[in-house]
Amino acid sequence: MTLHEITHLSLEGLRANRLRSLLTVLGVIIGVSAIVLLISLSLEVRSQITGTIKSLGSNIYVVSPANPQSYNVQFVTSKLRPKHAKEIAQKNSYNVAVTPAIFRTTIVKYGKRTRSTTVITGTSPNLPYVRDWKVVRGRFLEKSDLVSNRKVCVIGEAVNRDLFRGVDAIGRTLVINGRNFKIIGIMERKGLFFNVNLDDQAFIPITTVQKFFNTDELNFITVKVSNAKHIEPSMDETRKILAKHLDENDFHVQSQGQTLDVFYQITSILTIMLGAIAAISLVVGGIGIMNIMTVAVTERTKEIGIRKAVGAKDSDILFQFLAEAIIISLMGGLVGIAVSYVAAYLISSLFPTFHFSISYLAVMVAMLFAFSMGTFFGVYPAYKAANLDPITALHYE
Amino acid sequence: MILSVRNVVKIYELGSIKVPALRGVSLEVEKGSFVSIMGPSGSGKSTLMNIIGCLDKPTEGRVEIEGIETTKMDRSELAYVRNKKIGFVFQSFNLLPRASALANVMLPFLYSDQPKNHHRDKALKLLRSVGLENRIMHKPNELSGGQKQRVAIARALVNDPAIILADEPTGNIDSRSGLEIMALLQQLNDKGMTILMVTHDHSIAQHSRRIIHLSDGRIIREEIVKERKCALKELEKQSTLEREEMS
Repeated sequence: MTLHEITHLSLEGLRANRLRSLLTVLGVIIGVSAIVLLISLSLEVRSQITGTIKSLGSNIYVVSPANPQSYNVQFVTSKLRPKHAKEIAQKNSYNVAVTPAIFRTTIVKYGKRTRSTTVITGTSPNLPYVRDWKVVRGRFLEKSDLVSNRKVCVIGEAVNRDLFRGVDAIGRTLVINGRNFKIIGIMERKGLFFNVNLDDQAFIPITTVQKFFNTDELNFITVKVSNAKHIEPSMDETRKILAKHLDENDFHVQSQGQTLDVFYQITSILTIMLGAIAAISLVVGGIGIMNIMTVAVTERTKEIGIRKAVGAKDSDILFQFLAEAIIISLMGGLVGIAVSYVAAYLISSLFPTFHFSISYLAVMVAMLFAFSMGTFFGVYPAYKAANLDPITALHYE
Repeated sequence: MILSVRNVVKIYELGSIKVPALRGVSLEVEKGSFVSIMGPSGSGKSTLMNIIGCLDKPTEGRVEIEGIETTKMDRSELAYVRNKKIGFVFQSFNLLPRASALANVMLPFLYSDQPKNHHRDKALKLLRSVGLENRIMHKPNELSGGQKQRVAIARALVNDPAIILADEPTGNIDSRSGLEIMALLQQLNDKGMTILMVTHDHSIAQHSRRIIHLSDGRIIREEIVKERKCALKELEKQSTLEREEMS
């Protein structure tokens, strides 16, 4: 028998019991769409997390105020100072760009409109270069702004949108913590970093923050290395430079790659776990196939006898019934994938910030799994059919 | 010689009990003959048919079809012989209920390795030759008993078999349809087809050329039919009588 004949025969068999076949296919549809959606979901979460981490800039590492292995991380007071950032920039033998940051949350005002969530970031002029973050209008902070403690600010996209609402903000005055700041630039949209809206920021000269907020405790020092290969040795040098002034528990140096690795591990476990849970539902679908095929073989015993009497070999009968099981699983697989695409479209429409798309890897895994499932659970009933004794089968009523 | 059966013994084992169904049967069937096997139920005639038809294997003895021994063949080789050399006509027709008359006739082609180009034409020709040209797409439940048996005969002929094995071919149909089936089988035999038929009805057996009587798994008697009945003439006679009764 040719593949075409086997397929035709199997489809005829399935058509004979439409409702039953459809219900069996439904089991596979649920299993396949569960696999596709859950794997895609976890891969999407991974790509969003890595995307977010990468959005901080490329080839960078971060010096933070405390060693995460020390016990009092939560209550640590930063011992990092602007002078440390300067020293890294001067003494690190690799080609590095350094930008310090002090964060403060306060009320910002324009006219009658206010925002209480905006983060005031005191930083240096090279932040756009270090963080790969462009200014879309106006300019960023300059050295002279820092030297003269100027009351100028560059605002994030969310601040611009909410407070100025289409009015050109450049040259206007933003009231920060009761003081007037002249807006000199607007940053491009950056989006969320986990649950922090990076666009809800106002950048002001670090020297101005030191003066008005009376603090010089840095929250972060971000270091950019021009060559990716130099990240590790440059980090070692930075550790040595800082160790001269600070206790080793007072600072922590971590590269973007290390942060990514941690999230990769977490999301990989998540993907495997969700995939395995979904696979269970597909296995249940497979058991459904086996159940239905066993019933079909019993019901069609006489048909098997007739086919054998006119010359069907055991292998012909085996392939006919195996093909039915595989067709059920493949049909379920294809419809399941279609259902997943529709579900992904609906999720994306309902939650526009979450760009949910179906992963090809998930589709392939699900199809392969469905096919193997159909074959595995179809073999026993098909084998049973193939090995029926022709006389017994012919006299079955 | 189309068929040769030598010292065939068949013993069924039901647990520890051994039930002999055939106790050493030998017979030979020449090409173009029409042989009936008669006997009461339990005489072993169906067992003999199953063994000749490669549906079952004997416990002892050998069977040859066209000089090829079938008793030592494996399941796959037996399937090949059933497809190529044997045409079955069963008492209960054994047609696929969901398939049309045409699809039923074409069924053996599905398992044959012949080129597939003229299959449909050949099946249609056979359906015409058994008088079912107007019933081609009908399913078995839309056909009468006699018509179903004609479909079965067309199916039996489709792969040009060496022998037709008919197991009580008139057992499930009315007497007139039975005569029509016998007329069809006689026509085929007249054209050279070898037919081996099992029946318990002596008047039906009289349509063949030779009768083998079986009892308790042994051949007890063989007879040559001297005055062979002609089913076609019987049908004409019946029609004349019916016409006379009507008038």
